[in-house]
Amino acid sequence: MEMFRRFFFAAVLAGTVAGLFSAAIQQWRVVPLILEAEQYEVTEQMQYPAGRQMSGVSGEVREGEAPQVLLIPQTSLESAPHPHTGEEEANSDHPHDLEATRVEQNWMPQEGLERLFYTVVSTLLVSLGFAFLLVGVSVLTNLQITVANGIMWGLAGFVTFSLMPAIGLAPELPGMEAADLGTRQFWWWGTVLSTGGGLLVLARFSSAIKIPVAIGLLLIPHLVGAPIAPPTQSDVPALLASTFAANALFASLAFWVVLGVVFGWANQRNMKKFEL
Amino acid sequence: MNTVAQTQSLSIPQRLIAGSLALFLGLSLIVGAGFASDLAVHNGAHDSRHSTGFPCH
Repeated sequence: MEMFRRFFFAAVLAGTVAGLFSAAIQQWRVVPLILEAEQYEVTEQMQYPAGRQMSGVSGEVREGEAPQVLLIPQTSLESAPHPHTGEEEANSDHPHDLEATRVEQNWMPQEGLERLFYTVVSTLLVSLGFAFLLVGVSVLTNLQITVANGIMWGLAGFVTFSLMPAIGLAPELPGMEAADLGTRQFWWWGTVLSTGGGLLVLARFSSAIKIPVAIGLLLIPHLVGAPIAPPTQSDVPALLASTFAANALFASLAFWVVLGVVFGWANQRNMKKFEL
Repeated sequence: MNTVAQTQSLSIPQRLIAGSLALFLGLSLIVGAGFASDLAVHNGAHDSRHSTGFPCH
């Protein structure tokens, strides 16, 4: 039991510290770009009540068979098949009716503090999730996380969960064109597994054969190829999109380095405490 | 303190149980906050998902 407690608290501590740090970086470097991108999410085919602000979440929706992707304010997020659900019929003729019902059906945070709060909470949850993944991988592979090698664990996490997936699926702004969500998520997880597996092979084994095996695992997802976005135009400026991708990657790198180092510190400290 | 001796003192079943539990917990948190398709969850976690680089929308 002591072992479980030790790892649990190290993960909670590291996940919380890194998550709060990450949330701060996101608010500083990344979220402002998301908000800016949302200003371009305007559909020309739908009219909305005067004074209705675009707020927060928006969806990329397809209007029937129309090749153009419409970007709509979140109050009518459900007014057309959303890639997440796809079960609702498009009905863009009655935005007033839709607004009356959609807002009740689909909760979303208010602009400002509430949106900030939920962003921080979800960033914290994801951060704790990554911390527990580190524990699991460390325990299963018998590779310890220490202060000294914490930065290497962090860099490995960054390469696995951010950098290698990003070279196929760059961090995307709301309103950017993208391939089918399920396909992208499948490729994303496959890339994570393959990349992480390759790095673990490098870290765990000593035979020289590990190098070509690891390189192969790192390259396979990119030889297969990431899902390609449909060739449609987005209103989001290219510079905004590239600035966002760079800053999102920077935020991820900062997060992973902090997570690895704090986890290593907590892990070592607990080892002393329990005289393990 | 000898970290190597410490980890090797764990039996393989212990290691498998603890490691699998941690992996499961971690994946649950990531999938729940980062990938769940429920619209309310999506709306709340939206900025976080985009910032983290998860496929969103």
